Amino acid sequence: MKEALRTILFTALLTAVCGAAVSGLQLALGERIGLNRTAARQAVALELLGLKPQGEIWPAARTAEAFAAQVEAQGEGERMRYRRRDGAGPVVWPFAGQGFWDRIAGYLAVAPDGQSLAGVAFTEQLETPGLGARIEEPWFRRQFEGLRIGAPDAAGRRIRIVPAGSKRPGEPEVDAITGASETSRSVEKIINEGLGRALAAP
Amino acid sequence: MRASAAPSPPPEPMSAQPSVTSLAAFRRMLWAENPVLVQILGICSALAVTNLVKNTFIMCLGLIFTTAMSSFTVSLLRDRIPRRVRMMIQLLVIASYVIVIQTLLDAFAPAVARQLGPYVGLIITNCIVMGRAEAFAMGNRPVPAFWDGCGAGLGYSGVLLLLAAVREPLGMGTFCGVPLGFMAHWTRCSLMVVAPAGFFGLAALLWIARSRR
Repeated sequence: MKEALRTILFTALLTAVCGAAVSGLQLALGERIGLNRTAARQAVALELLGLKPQGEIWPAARTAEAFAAQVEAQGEGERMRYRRRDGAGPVVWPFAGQGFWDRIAGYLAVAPDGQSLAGVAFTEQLETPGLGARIEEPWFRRQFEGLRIGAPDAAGRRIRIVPAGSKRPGEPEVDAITGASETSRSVEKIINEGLGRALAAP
Repeated sequence: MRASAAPSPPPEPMSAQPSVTSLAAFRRMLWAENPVLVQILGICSALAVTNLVKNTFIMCLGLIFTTAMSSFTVSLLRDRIPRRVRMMIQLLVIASYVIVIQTLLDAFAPAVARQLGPYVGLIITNCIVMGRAEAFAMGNRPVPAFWDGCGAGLGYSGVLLLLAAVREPLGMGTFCGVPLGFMAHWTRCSLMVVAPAGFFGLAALLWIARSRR
């Protein structure tokens, strides 16, 4: 009986100590972590709007400052989008959907004339490293820059992700990632849905 | 590495005596009792992260820190831990350290944390960490336990980095993300990127390592 009591007390005490340590750290750094997360998303939007060189790493405070000064959010909920305050540049729309393993989210930038994409960037993805996760690599993303937005085809797709090496110049097509067919298909669906929302806006 | 001519001494028992020195505890984990090659522990992450050298390296740093610190802490508490719940207690200590690493990375190195995704959290489930806590730290003093944990982490790291150094160039034509000039015309081998290649690579490595013993 005494042994059982000792076991319970020891376990409870150690749990309290470890719990307090971990929660204390979270509490102390929570604000900083939150700012980092927001800044990571804002940095991607800034890059698409041409307000930050691609791939440059800025401290969270600098990103937040530049975003607040130069970017304007318009619309509510699903219609939320970002524009530059000076009126130039593309309109940046968030998109999100289910990938092969987990949620994929990011931003797509529609050129001012609404006829082509200015770029695509991913802020959230947990696809297979080395395969699906390569959607974040520059060579894949660069394919969307200046890509013409086509009329919806039979499946409602305005842009298509086609087997690597089979894209035709001038067509709204980008090369898929070999070995990651499911991720490529998911990305195609998610981007087309996002594009549909963006083009439906007045 | 042991000279092949010398007769190999009998293997040491897993639950080591308290007399083991820090240096001996550290050294035997590197080769003679390597956690991956001899104890066949930590296989899950050996398969999952070794397609990229950079991810492997950061995973290894996390594992070395966690194993060393959790072994040290468990050893400090070893005379007070009630035997019937000892594994729960070990896991509690390990999980706390891993959450601390994750939180610090999120706060001070968000770019690295983003690269690693779920891998850091998965250190909790790495059998090596709990294996060392149970097999060594529960019966030894804190300082040797710390070095035993460091050694186990380094032994694991050596094997994983070797695997990654083979898988990344063959699968992606790069090393640490840098394209390799002499592999410019290499056709990327997708098999090397997925987990089964980790199995094949590890099996080949085990075969070589054991035939040299």
